[in-house]
Amino acid sequence: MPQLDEKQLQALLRLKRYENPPPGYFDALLDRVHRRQREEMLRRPAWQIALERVRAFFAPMQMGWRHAGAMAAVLIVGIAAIRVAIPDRTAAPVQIAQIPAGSNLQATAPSITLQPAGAQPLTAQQNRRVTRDPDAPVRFIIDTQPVSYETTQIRF
Amino acid sequence: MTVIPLPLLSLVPSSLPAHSAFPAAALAGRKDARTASEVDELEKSRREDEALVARAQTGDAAAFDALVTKHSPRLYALVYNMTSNHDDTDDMLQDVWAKVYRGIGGFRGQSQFSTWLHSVAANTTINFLKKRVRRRTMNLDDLDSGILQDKEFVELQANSTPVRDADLGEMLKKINEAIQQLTPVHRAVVTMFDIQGLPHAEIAKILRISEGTVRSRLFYAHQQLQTQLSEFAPTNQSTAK
Repeated sequence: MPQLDEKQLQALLRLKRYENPPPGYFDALLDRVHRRQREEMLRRPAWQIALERVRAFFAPMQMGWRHAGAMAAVLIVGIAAIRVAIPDRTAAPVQIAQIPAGSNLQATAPSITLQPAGAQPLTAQQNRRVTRDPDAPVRFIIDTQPVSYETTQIRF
Repeated sequence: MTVIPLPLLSLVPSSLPAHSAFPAAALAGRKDARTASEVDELEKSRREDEALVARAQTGDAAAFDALVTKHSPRLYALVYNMTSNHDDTDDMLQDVWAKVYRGIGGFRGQSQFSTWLHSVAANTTINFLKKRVRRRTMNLDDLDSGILQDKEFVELQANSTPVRDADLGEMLKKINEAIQQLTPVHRAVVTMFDIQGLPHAEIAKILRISEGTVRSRLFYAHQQLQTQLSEFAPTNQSTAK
């Protein structure tokens, strides 16, 4: 069976250049490209938007990556220095409630130590340090609760 | 006609109609040679692209629109001839322009914009065709009436009785079917070389393969197509005319 030679094959293939999309197709394509761009802008994740805003902010400064990196390093060192300079006030306990020695409640009620939220629990040594000195005068904690719930005999 | 070697391989300007993208004489024999006026036009087109890309990179939406308007016909031809489906081509083109819109900020001009653009389009289409397991039915575009005045077609009709007797629409359908039998990478090479008229070197740049690979893929694809389209081969009798 005879076959096409190279030139004839290319002449046949080039006929495909005469296949054209419907008139006005390319104008409509531009509209569709615009719509696609808008859709993509709405679907973008927040980090991408934030990154773009940061870039847009620095763009007029004509800043190179080295300059930006140096600025970021200074910022990190500054924050670290501030954290080191400010003493950590969260370590000390705020209030300690104790039960007096010799009280008959001591056996039943455990000693309560109030600490700020997030503070480390006291070690045994620290706990010993904050327990009451036996020679010190006895302190009583006056509760906000009424002393007695017994009904009074007094009538008005 | 003065023919000078192509100084730096570049694409055919997209301002030309897709079907007249490359002169027939160049396609027939001298693939990598263009006339002085063609080279001037290519250079002008390249400079125009550079200016538009620079403006688009600064956020000028009108410049990006101008790039879309300028390059879409050639991109359409590339993708359509690989898919043989108008709807798929439409989807692909939108994908390609979305990718270009996202990536144009990072385009550093190491290659020509049109080379980069064709690279994005060709790779997007190849990936799409590889993923498309079942071949969809063809959805072909209408034929331009200019085909009847095409010099090479007239010559082919004169030499080949099967071509002369064939219905034009049916013939194009068979050509499309034959192209669809090729693998996506072979289709890409045939589309760019035989239909769009790009030189081997330019195709190699677009597909990021060697020129030797382009030539070997073309050789294999041509063999396949010659077998598929043998019904249009001129018989001895018709050749004698």
